Amino acid sequence: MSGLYVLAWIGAQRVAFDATRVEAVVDIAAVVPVPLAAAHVIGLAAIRSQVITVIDCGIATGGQASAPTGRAIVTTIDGHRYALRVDHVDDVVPGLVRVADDSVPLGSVWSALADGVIEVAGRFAVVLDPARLISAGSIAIAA
Amino acid sequence: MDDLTGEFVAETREMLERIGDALLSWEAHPGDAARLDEIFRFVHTVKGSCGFIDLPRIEALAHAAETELAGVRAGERTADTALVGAMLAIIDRIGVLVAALETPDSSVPDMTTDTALIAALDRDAVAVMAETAGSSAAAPQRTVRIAVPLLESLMTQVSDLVLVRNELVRTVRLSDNPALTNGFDRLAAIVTDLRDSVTRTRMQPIDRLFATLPRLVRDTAKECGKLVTLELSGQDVEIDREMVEAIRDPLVHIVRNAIDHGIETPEARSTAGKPANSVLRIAALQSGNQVSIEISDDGRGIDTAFLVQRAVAARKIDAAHAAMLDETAAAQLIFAAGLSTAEKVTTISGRGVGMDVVRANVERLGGSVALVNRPGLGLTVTLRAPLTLSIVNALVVSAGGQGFAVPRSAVEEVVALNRDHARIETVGGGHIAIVRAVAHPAFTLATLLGLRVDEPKLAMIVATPSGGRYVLAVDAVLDHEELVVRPMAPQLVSQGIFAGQSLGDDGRPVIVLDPVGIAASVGISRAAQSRDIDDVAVVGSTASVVVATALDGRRIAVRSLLVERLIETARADWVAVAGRWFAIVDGRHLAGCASGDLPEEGAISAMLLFDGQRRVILPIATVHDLAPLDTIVPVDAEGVEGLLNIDDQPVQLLDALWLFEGAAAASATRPVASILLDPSPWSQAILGPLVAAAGYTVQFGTAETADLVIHLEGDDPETDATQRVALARGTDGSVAIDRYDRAALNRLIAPPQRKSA
Repeated sequence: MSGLYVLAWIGAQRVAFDATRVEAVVDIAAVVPVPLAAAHVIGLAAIRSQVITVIDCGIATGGQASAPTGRAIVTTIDGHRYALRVDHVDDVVPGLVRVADDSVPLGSVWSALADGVIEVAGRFAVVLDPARLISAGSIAIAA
Repeated sequence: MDDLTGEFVAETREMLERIGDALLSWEAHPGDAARLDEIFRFVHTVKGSCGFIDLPRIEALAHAAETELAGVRAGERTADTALVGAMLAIIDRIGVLVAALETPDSSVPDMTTDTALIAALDRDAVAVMAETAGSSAAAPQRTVRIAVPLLESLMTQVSDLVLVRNELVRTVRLSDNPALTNGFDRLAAIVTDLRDSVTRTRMQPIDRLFATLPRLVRDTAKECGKLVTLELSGQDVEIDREMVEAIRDPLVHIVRNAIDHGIETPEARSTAGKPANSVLRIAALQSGNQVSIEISDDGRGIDTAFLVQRAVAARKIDAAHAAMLDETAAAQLIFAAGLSTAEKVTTISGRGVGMDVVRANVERLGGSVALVNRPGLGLTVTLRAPLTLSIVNALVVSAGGQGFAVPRSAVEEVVALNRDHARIETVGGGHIAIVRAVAHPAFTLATLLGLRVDEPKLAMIVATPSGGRYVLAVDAVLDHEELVVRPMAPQLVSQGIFAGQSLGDDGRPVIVLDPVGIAASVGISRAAQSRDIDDVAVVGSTASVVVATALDGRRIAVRSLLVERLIETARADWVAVAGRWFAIVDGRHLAGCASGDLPEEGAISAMLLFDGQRRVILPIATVHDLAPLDTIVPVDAEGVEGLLNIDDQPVQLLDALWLFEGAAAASATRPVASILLDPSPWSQAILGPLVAAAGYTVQFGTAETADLVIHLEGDDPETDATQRVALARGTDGSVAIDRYDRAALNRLIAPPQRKSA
C-alpha cells in the first residue's frame, strides 16, 4: 500500500497517518473535559464552530499523556469528528507500508493499532489506524 | 431503484396518506363530488406514472379503479359500501406494491389475486371513460422535495452562523464605529430570522400524522364490531418531522386500545344508556415548546378494581399495597409491564405489551403520557412531546468547576440549600434532600460525574417525564441557553448520563445531561418517584421567588415556578396598544405586565412568565437573585400578594393571577372549586374567599363541572375533578385542621394548576 502519509510524533515515537484520512491539522486551544470517559479521551473542543472529540494519542498507545491543548490531526470516523492530539506534525511524505510481522516487532499495544511501518529518509514511522486508535481505550476497558 | 421510480414511490406514498381520508368521507357522503374527484385524480396519476416507468401490475389496478370511478362520475353507478370497500382494497394493494418497490426482496401478494380485487369492483355496466374536465378542489400548495440530509446541513450551517454572530457581538459592542454596529445589528437580526425559517422547514403540520387515523379507526372499529365516529382537531399544529415519525406508533397504539377495549359494543352501549355510536376525539394542541395530543373516548374507561385485581394476580403489586391505591394510582397500573385489561386476547390488543412500551418510547423523546379515567364514561390519554428534538432550552449549571447543560423542561425548580427550607441529609450511603418538608432522593452531580466535590449550594429539583422527581445538588446556575444538541461520539456516551454535546453561546463545547438517563443510572424506581408526587401535590404551592427591581424602582418578587426564563429585549420590540404594552418575543406578540414606564430606548430586561398555557412578559430594570419564599405578610393592594423580607429589605411579591389577568386583556375563565362541607360560616365566609383568592370560582354543595373538590376525608364524592383536597376529619366529625391557620389553608389549596395532571 503506497500513498501520502502525514508524519507526526507521539512522544519520542515517529508515527504516520494515511493522508486520505486526515482532514486537517489544527491547534486545539481549549478542551472541555468529559467526565466518566475513557482515559485516552481528553474531552471536547470547538474547532471552526464544530464540537469535536479530542483523543490523547500518548495514552491510547500506552504511553504518557500529552498536554490537552496543542497540535492535532482531525479525522472523521462513523460520522463523528475526532482530533488526535500529537506532539508535533512534521510533513506529508510519500511512503510504502510494510505490514507489521515478525520482522517488524511493534509490541502488543502498538501492533493492535498499527497497519505497519513506512520508511522515511532512512528512519521508520509507525502507520496508525485512526479508527483503532480512538477505540483503544474501550478495548482496554473490555479486557 | 432509479431516481424516477424513487420519485414515484415518494409521491405515491404521500398521495396515499391523503387519499385514505377522502375515501372514508366519500363513503359517508357518496354524493360528494370533490372527494370523488380527489380519488379519481389519485388513481389517474398513478396510472399515468406507471405507464412511463413500466409498472404494468400497478397500472392494471389503477386502470380498473379509474374506469369504475369514471362510471360513478358519469352517474352510471352510485358509490355504495361494496364499491368503497373494493376501492379501498385496490388502493391498499397499490400501497403494498409501491412499498415493495423500495425493498425488492420483500414478498408481494400473488398477481392472480389482483384479478379478484378488480373483479370485486363488480362492473355491472360497461363503464365508459368519461373525462369531466375541471376540478372543484383548490390548487395544491406548491412544494418541492428536499432530501433530509440537505436540510440537516442547512440547519448545522445556520447554527454555526448563530455561533459566529454570538462571538462577534462582544467585539462589535466595543467598537465605536456606528456604521459597523448598525450593519452588524441588521446582520444579527437577519441571522435570527434565518434560523427561525430554517427551523420551520423541519416542521410539518401534525395533519400528516392524523391523515392515516380515519382509516385506522374505520378498520379497527370494523374488526371489533364497534361504531366509532372520529373527531379530529388541531391538525394545523406544526411539529418537527422527526417527531411525527417518533410519536406515530404510540398514537396508533393508544387509538387501537381505545377502540378495542375502551369503547363498548353497540349493544352494551345501549344497555348503558349511551348512544350506539361512540365518539373518539383526537385533539392536538401546542403550548409553549410542547405539543399535546389528547385522545379521549366515551367508552367504559378503566375498571380500576379489575385492574388492581389483575395486578395482584400477576404479582405486580402486593395486596396490602393494592388496598392503599386511590383511583388515580390504580389507573396508572395500566403502565405496568405485562399487564392487560383485555379479558381475552384479540388480534388488536390484550397481549400485555402495550402501555408500558408506549410510555417508555414517549419518555425517550422527552415527552410524557397522562391519563384521566372516568369510570363508565371514558378515558382520556394525553401524549405530550417536545415540538422539536433539535433545539433544547437548557440551564447551564456548574458542578466540580465545570459547566453542564440540563434541559430546562426537566428542571422544576432550583432552590438554595440552607438550613431551613432545603437541606441534604446523609442516610446510610445515600442522601435525601428535604425541600419544604418534602423528601426527595438526592444526588450530587459532581459525585455522579466523578468530579471534585465542593459543598453544593443549590438543589435542582428534576422532574422526569413520568412525573417522578429527584434532586441534583449543583454548585451554581451559570446561564440559560438555547442549544442545538448533537449526538456524542460513542467513546463518551457512558451509562446514559449524557444526552449529547453542543456549542454554548461563548463558543465553548458544552455537555448536555440526560435527566431520564441519570434517574435510570442511579436506579430510581418508578414507584418511588410516583409516591413522591402525591406528597408534592399537596405542599407544592410555596416555592422560591425571583427577586428583581421593577422599572419604577420597586423591589419585586415573582414565584420562580412561573419564570420560564430571563430575556433581553430591545426597546423596538415593544409597542403600546390602547394603553397596554406588548413585546415581540421569539416572533410572537406577548402581553406585557405593568412594571413602570419603559425607557425611551436601549435594551430592556424582562422575565418571561409561563403558567403552563399562556406566556406574558414582565419588563424589569434588573434581576437580583433567587430567594426562598419565606413568610408572606399579606397586604391589601392590587397586584401584590404580600410582602417578603429578603436580606432585610422589603420586597413586594407580585400576585401571579393579577400578572396574567392584568396582562392578558381577554377574560380568563377561572377553574371551578367545589366546597362539599357542611354549610357553616367558616366554610362560606373564610374558606370560600380563600379558595377564590387562590384563583377559583367557588361553588357549594355540588361537585359538577368542578376542577377542584374540597371535602372531608372519607366522604370521597364522585367527581370528574382533576384535583381534590380531603380535609382531615376531627373526632366530632367536623374539619380537624386549624381553622384559622392561613398559611396551612393556603398550602392545602394550591393555586389552580392550569396544566392538567
